[in-house]
Amino acid sequence: MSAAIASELTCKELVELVTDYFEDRLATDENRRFELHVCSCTGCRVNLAQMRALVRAAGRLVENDVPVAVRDGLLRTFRAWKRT
Amino acid sequence: MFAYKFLAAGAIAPFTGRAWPQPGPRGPGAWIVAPQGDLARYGVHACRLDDLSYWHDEELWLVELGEPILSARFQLAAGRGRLLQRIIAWNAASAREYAAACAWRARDLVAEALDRAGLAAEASALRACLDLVSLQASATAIAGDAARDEPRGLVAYAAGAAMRARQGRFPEASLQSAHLGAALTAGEAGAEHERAWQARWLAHRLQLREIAARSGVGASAV
Repeated sequence: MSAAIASELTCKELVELVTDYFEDRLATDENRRFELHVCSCTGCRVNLAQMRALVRAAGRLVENDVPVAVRDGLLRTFRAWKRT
Repeated sequence: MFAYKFLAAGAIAPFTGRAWPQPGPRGPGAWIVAPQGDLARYGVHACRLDDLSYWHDEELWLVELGEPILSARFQLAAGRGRLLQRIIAWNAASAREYAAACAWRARDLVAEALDRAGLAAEASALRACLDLVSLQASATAIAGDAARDEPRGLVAYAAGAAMRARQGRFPEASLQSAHLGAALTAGEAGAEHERAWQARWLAHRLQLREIAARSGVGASAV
């Protein structure tokens, strides 16, 4: 949802700030604006929950958890992406 | 000091994921103590009545806060807090009522704006709506392709609020109404006015002052 209220975060801005939020790098006022937006936006609340779950799950992974075929496929994709 | 706190289902803090100790037969839940550091940032956060409409979640609780207590915009931050009582009147049914109330409030505001702009027929069409389905349809038709800063375009906020209310999405229904308030006044004061109206609706519908009084905390509840 876009913001008609000047000081309010938009969904797009929230997505841009989510990493800083998780790493506790937002200023106090910005942190509050972030959380205020989440309380008013079901989509961003779901997104935040998914990001949390992703961080938790990814934090438990080690390199050997990734099957070789999946790893090779991902590497091919990333390398091709960098060339274009 | 006594205040209110929205929590996710199971008395879970929505941002930290912490499970709040719940009250039992022997009294209030155990105190949660804030970590050292910036109180505004890391304190135990809670709402005054006026703050309720900014912090929606599935459960609403009456809480007691302990010193130090910082009064900030949109919330209180305290050194410690504990749950006293769940406000059971805040539930799926009352949340839907709240969403609908926000949508009808948006309808009334845009109808007044249409009247002021000389669009009486459109205002009447909105006032004739008896349910959220017809409100959404009528408001969508009136708004058409108009920009949201035009009188007809403002009706899109009422359409949006009605749609969200029909979906039971009370946070977005109330936000649409707050956005409309901002658009009508070209500033945040209008949004805050609408948030204040929503907070009064919640306090009245959920009988928060009465609950606080019955709990013996009425005199010091915020």
